[in-house]
Amino acid sequence: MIVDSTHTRWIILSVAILVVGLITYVPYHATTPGGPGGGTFQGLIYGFVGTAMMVFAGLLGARKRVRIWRLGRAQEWVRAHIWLGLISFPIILFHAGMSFGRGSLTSVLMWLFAIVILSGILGLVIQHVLPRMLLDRVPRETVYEQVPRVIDQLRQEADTLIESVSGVIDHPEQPAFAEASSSPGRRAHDLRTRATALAVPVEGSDELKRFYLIEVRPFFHPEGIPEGELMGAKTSSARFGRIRLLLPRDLHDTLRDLETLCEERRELALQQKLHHWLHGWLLVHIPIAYALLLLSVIHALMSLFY
Amino acid sequence: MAIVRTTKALAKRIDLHYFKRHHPLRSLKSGLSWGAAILAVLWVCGTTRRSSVVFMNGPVSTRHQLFGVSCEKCHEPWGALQTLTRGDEHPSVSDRSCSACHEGPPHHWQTPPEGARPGSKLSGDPACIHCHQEHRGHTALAALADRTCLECHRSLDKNTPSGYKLQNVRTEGKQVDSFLSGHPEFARIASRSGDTARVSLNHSVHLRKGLAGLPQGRAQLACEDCHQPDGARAYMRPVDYETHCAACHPINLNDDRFPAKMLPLPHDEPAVVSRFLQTSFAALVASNPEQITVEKKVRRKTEQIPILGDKELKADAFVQEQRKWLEAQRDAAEKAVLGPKSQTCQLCHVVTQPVEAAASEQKDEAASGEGKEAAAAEEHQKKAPGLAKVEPTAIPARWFVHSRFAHEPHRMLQCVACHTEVDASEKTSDVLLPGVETCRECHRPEPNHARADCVECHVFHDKLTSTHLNGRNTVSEVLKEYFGPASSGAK
Amino acid sequence: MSSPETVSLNIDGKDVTVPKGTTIYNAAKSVGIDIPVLCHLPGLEPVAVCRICAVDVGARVYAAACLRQAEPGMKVKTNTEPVVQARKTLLELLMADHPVPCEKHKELGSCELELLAEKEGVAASKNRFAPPPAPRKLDHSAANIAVNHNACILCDRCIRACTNVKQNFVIGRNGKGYVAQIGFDNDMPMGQSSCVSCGECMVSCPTGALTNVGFEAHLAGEKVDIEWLSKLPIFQGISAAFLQRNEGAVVKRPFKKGEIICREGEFGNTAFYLLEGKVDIFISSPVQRATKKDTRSFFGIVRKMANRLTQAGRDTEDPERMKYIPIDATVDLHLGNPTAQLGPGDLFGEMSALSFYPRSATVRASEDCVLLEMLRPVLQILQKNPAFKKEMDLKYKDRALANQLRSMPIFGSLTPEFIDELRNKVELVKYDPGTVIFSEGDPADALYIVRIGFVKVLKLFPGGELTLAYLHRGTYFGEMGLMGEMVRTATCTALDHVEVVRIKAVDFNLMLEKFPQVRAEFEKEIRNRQEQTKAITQIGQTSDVTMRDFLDQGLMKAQSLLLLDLERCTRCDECVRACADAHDGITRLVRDGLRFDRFLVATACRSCTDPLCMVGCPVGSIRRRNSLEIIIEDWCVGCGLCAEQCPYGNINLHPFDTREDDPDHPGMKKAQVRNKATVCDLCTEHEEPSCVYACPHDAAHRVNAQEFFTRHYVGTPKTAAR
Repeated sequence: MIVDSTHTRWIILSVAILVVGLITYVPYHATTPGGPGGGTFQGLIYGFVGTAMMVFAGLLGARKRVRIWRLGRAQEWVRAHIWLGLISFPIILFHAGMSFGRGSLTSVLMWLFAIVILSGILGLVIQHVLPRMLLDRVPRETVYEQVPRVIDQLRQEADTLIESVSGVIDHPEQPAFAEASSSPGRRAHDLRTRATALAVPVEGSDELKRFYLIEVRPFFHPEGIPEGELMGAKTSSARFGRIRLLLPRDLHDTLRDLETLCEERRELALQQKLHHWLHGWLLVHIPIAYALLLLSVIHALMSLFY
Repeated sequence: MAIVRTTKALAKRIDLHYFKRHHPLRSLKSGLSWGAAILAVLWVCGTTRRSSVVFMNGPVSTRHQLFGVSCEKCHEPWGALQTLTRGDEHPSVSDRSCSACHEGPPHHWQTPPEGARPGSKLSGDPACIHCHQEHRGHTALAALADRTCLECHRSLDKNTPSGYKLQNVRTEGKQVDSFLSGHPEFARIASRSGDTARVSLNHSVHLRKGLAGLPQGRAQLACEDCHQPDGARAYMRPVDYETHCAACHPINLNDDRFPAKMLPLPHDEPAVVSRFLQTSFAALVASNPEQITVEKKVRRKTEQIPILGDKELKADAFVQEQRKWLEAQRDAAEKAVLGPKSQTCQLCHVVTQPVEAAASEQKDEAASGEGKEAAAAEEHQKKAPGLAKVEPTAIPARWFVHSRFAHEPHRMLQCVACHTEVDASEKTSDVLLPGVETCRECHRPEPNHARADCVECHVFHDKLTSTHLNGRNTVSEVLKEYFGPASSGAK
Repeated sequence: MSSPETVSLNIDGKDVTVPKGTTIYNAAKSVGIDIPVLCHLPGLEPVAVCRICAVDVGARVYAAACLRQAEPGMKVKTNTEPVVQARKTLLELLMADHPVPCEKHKELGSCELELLAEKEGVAASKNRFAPPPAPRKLDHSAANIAVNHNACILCDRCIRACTNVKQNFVIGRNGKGYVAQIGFDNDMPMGQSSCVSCGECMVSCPTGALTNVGFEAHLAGEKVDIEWLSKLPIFQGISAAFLQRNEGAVVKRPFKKGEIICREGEFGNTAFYLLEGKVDIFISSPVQRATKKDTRSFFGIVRKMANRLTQAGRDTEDPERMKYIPIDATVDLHLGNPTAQLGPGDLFGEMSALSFYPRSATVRASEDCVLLEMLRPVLQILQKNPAFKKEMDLKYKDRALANQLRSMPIFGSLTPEFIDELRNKVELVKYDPGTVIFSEGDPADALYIVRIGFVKVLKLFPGGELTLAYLHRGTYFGEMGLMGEMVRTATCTALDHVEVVRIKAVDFNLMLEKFPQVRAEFEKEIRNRQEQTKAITQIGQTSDVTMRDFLDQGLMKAQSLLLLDLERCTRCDECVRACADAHDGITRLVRDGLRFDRFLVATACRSCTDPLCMVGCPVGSIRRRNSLEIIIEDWCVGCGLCAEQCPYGNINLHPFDTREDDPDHPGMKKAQVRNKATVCDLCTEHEEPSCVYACPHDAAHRVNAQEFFTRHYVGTPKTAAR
């Protein structure tokens, strides 16, 4: 979510909430003997409002489970999530009388809350930067979950490419995604991609075939991020440059296509890496938020009981 | 032929059901979420198995540690909820909970309002936990921050919220912010009346060098020769004649008939002294009759009553004669000791002459409204009619009744460091106590200074009258009550 | 003596006089001497590439009989030992390049090369020549024609059929020597080439190099005797030579009661003519989007509330909802009970045979019956045969016209008497693919009802042409011109083999006069169409953005694009999941595709101005409703043609559970999984597509491409153009 002019309403609202909170908090802080705390009337009000905001922010998860319910557009929810979530932290600080928790549960709560807020802010920053990076640096992006599958298809494509100039190559392993064809349309498509021209080897293609089988083909392994010369843009282009010198002119086009496929593979590796960053922060944000909400409920119940 | 892909080719690469399968990243996310939630619950359950201390919003104060793990000792169920619904102030811990152990004497002890039960907290007073806030760490609940007091006492010339006006305080409309700023001069010093003790003392003379009667080798009296701390080393014991004065100021009746030409008198009430004189003279007659020249005439006189002839009668007459003589001697001696001109008692004390002489004075005293003194005078007249009366010295044991002071922590200081005027003081009425400025030299709310909190000197509750030491419980009861039946593992 | 116009020669000792320019082959044939040929086919221009027809004309080298013209005094020997030996060697060489037996021979025993080799006694096992060093390719990319280059003997018959007969110019030759082979559009896989799948090449191929996909199921019937065939009334007047040449393109097939003749959704390329007996023609009941409406139970109430939250069920009844499903036969099927019966003389599968459309319905023999199954060439010649045409027209007018008129709500109030009257006045007209039926601005003289095929309706604009609609069987056109300006308002073109019913303006006006209700219906319909046309043409005129990418990606034709702003998109996949949630767990959106600027043009229906997907749907279930969105109705038979047609991969087939008649237990239903095509319906029951609604990052947008990008690049919406 990029913070832009569409957020104005929410920014105004959250600043207004913060200002109201501050205006009521300053005299409250100054006049309450022994310092403000969560148990006073005003403190409880802050706690109640803050918790409501936190719970609302947490409801985003529930909202995403019922995507097609017309409960307001998801992006509005995210805007509300960002701003109310952010503003709930000072409100909870008001609730706690600006302390960071005095008891074990309360300090754990505050620390968890801080982690959630910080990871959220980090996530927001990441969402400003990484999508653009993906746009710029991974032009041949695909669906993240399908990257291994696409890599496998790239390998098949490369196999076909090499076979078209150097004859049949032995497939040391089975295709990783054999279950692919399920519908007639699919099947036709798969047949099409496998419609390979089993041609007579072009003279001088042995070198290319060897290079492909030893260096390039392992590079198209769908799992993991391979290392080696082909992984770097510069080293890869140098390697291809060297190979090009060894090949007859007829094969240069094929080599260029192979290089393009390698580039695509490299981009997909980069996409995976960026995607992990783009979504990795959620691995902190969401679990901690769950724990936070759960403990908040316990805290609220116990505090209201006693 | 460069590789060109169409939209359709790109789309066909994708398995249309990929999103139904769990991708590691998503599985990890949901796994972690469950894990974190379970971990949180386990943590709470684990810690509450030992004690519910985990729910506490901060550790309890030092004194409450004993039962600090049992929430219900102080809290009433759903108390905080009532705070929200009713808007009450702190009902989650009511005064009832506190008064189970604490009597909580009233704040305004000097002037309890009509209908107030003596020794109890006043109805208008704030709730206990208004000032004594728990769960703020290992602190003393009584150690309140200044603003707790200033909540009511910031403007001293205005009534406090609970309706009582502070007395005897001249505030000049100042606002109290701290001890350093706005705290008025101590009332004892500020008031013009000075020291009203009814005893004459000239500190200047007593501290003179080469004072007569000093023990061997002493050039000068020291403060501690007269002022000695009490058991708690907080306040000074009252100056005691026998201990501190008698050595230099013996009380004697100068009369040649007694050995060493004087009779040492006891330091006591006039009635006691009077009896002592009579006994002393009786003893004098009994032991040494010839010395009593005047008595011959008396004897003769008794013998000249033949008509009576009765030996007993004669003896009776003699006794009567003798008593008259004794009374005369005694009265004379009394006058010498207590009379208006005498410097025996009146060297130090204020002596009131018998009723006739001092009627007007007494009437003044009675009119002045000092009910206590008037009653004492009346009693005195009943006990010893016709005797002069030594006024009570009325030296205050505690000068500042609204605050506590302890000399002990100040022991590194010279007495005169604070009591600076002592050397020059010639009059009893001089108040030799240090003023607020003197205190402020050290007590400032700043670093590297002695503390200057309100509660450093002032106390809220007047515990002098109410503290009892005999509680209700046995040891086992306390253990059971506070730690519960399963307390065997409690440390 | 020989006149200048004739030539006399001697063939194998027989004197022959033939017109000048006759080939030796034809000359020999005229005296009953059969010179074997492979690359030559009557009707095709001879090229003499296989040289099997080599004959000794007394020259230094043997001549190709198929090409060499007869010369005066020529002495031709066709069967001398050296000639036979040469022929055998040639056959041996060809056989070395040919798998024995090839697919065609294995299945049908009709590989001409192998038959000839057998006849000449050339055994594959004793071949002196080595096979080619590397096997050649198989090409299964086309939906209905399989290419096996191994079996190809490069006779060029297919090339000539494609180029000269059909004038499609798709097939040519590639490479030299061992790698020489036929190629489609300069060596593309056949399915990606511009091939129109007419099948002419397949018919002309002597070997198993070009075969019909799944042909083994068809034409495996009883071979028909040409003489018997030509005595059938419908074949009268058709030359025996034609029938001979197309021997095998028509077979006689008996079916027992209850046997399935063809199944809906299958690809087929034959038409059936019912000789005797009766058949049932039906399609499986349309798959309802079944939702139980039990609102009394607790879960019912919950579901009702959830429905309210999802705003489902807002889908109002389509006012022009069709009552009849058009199928590829002389009848239409009622939507409620899609079954009909055909009797002797009925023809079905015309569209499959002519344009290779998938079967639109299942046909089951309701009693023992005999059918003639025929490939397109036979069907086409039949259609040109006046006798057959007359019979078919009669049949159509008799039964189908009334049916069809009644199936259209607009003609609902016509009386049977009037239809009877109309019957004699209408004419059936056929158009070949690409023929313009009428052009914009032509005088309006008739109303047309589509009987077979698809008609493309388009309007011309300064920027190009814009397709307003594809009309399928059971729809009509031309009424706007008749009722309004008296000139045509759009151009209508036959997209494939089209047959239309033409109602002349006079009759039409008579009808309007007699039936005011029909007039009212038409007027209403015209208003609807005008609105729609206006809406579409507005879109067509809004922009002059001329970016190469924009055109390359076909965005110009898109009315509604799903764009993902890649600067905002976190690739969270919520759009895909929302789509799946909204459509029974199946996504109609793939988050991959080409980028345009900083947007990903997601793979989801674009509502093209030229919706190619609608072409060829055998049951007319894919269509536009009143607005932009393209929907696939429930009676989709799952043939997958639309998915193939869509250039952007936006239509996919998914299996659905259905209940169908159980053939083993008549009257019972059984659960079955059937494929159905799915396409983005823009979530019409909602105000906003679910994918856009569920995007948490403000990245997904459904936009009109031209308007959006105009605003995006120019900065202001081009309101002036509206």
